[in-house]
Amino acid sequence: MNRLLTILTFIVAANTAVPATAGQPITVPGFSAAEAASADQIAIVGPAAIAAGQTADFRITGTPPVNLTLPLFDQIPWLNGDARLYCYLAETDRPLLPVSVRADLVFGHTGATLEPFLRVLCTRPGQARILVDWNFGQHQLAEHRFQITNDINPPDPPVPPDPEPDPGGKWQILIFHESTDLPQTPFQQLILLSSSALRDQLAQKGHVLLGIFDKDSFASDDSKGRYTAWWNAIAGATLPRIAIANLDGGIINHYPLPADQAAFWTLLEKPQP
Amino acid sequence: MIRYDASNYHQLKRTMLHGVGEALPRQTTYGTFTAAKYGLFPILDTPDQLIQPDDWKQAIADCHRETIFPKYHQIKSAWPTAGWNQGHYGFCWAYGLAAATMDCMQAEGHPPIRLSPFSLGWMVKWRNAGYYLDAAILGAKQRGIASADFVPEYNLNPQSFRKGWQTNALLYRPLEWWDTQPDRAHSMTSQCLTILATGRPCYVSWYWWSHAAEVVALDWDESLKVPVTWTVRNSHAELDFIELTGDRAVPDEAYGVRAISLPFPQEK
Repeated sequence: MNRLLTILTFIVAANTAVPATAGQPITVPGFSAAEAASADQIAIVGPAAIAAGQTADFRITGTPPVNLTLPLFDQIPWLNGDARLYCYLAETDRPLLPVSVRADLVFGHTGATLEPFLRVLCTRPGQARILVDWNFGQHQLAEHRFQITNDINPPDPPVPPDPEPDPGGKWQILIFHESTDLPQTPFQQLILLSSSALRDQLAQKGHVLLGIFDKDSFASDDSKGRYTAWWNAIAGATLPRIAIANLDGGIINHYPLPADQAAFWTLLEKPQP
Repeated sequence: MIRYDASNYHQLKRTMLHGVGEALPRQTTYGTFTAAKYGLFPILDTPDQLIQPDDWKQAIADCHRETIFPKYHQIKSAWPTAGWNQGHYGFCWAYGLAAATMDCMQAEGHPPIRLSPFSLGWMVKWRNAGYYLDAAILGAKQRGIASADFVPEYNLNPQSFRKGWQTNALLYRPLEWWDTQPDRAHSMTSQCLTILATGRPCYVSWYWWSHAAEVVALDWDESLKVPVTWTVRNSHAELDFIELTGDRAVPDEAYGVRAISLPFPQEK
């Protein structure tokens, strides 16, 4: 607790006395220049602004090198020993939040090191900081200031559902059936399949009957011709089947052949998606 | 519509035939593998679905009321208005087949098109000759029937046909047919009515007449001894359908075309 109070005190002091800029490391007052120069300074690398609700990634650089020919565990007291570092997220109007650290093995031009990696979720718009209490070697308190903004990226637009068929629309209509089954087809459905007068009514209402096809009429993909999309739309569905699409084109919706004329006209008046 | 009493077949022969045996008895046997290869499938595969004699009157009335019989599609398409006349050619077998194919196309909702029976002349080696209905069905299934735009009527010289007529013919192929059995136990009338009630025409022949034609509807006339009458699209330049009555009006062979190839090749 004493350590946290110290850190918070430092934050207040930094806000009032030290005009830090984003990403600039701060050396704790009281350390001599000689001490500071005896080791690399810890620095925090990360974004200067992040939208609320988003996660942000930060890295801590300047960590001591590791010798991969020696046991690793003994070389990282700054990560797992008494002198380990502590990391925090400070957001506006929110208690200081400890942040867990992941260490990535990094191979730089001076050798290998373990580089702490932090990922935080930013929730409160305003100024925020990542604080690193470094307790090894030169002892250092480092911070990285960044802005949490309200500028939340709009979520990806939802994928629009298939447009519902237009009630009262004008349709192009195609009926698929198995002609072998015609003699067994109920008479009311035979009317839908074969009545000349019903086709006249369809035309009068502005619909276009493309055809009433036996499934075997499509002897090959080539013979499907302009009806390929229709055939693909109803593939695998039970027959007989009616497929409709707007006269101007669009989604092909398909349904079992209605039981009678009343159901047929109802379907065309108020098709369900 | 002129009514003919089929019992007086001498009159029919005098008025409509020219001494040529135009429609020859079938080569195949009903219900055999060979018949299936020809594209002929027994209607009696589903005998329970046959319209029985007690229901004929009602079924005929229903099919007229709901304009289901292929007669109504033919009237609407008006394809015979330019004449349907085999002339002095013994091609009734080709005219009946082409008529049934066109009306099945109408039942399937295709745009009207006039097919040329003379494009089937290859089956008789481009001679003026009669032929078998079942063999003609097989030939049409394999090579199709060209449109009249490609093959003019009354012309048996394929060299004079429009280029590409054979490709055009492949667009119009009757693929599947119901076959009927001339069996007293399963009335031919029941079988034909069952086919016609689906909106599909019958391609028929009468042995006594040696003639083939297309049946497009049945009617019911209580005043007749045999009340069922047969509405026929004949091919002797009639302006209207003809109607056959009597026992002899019942065809000896009947085939119901039920599926046509889609006449739309892939759009490249």
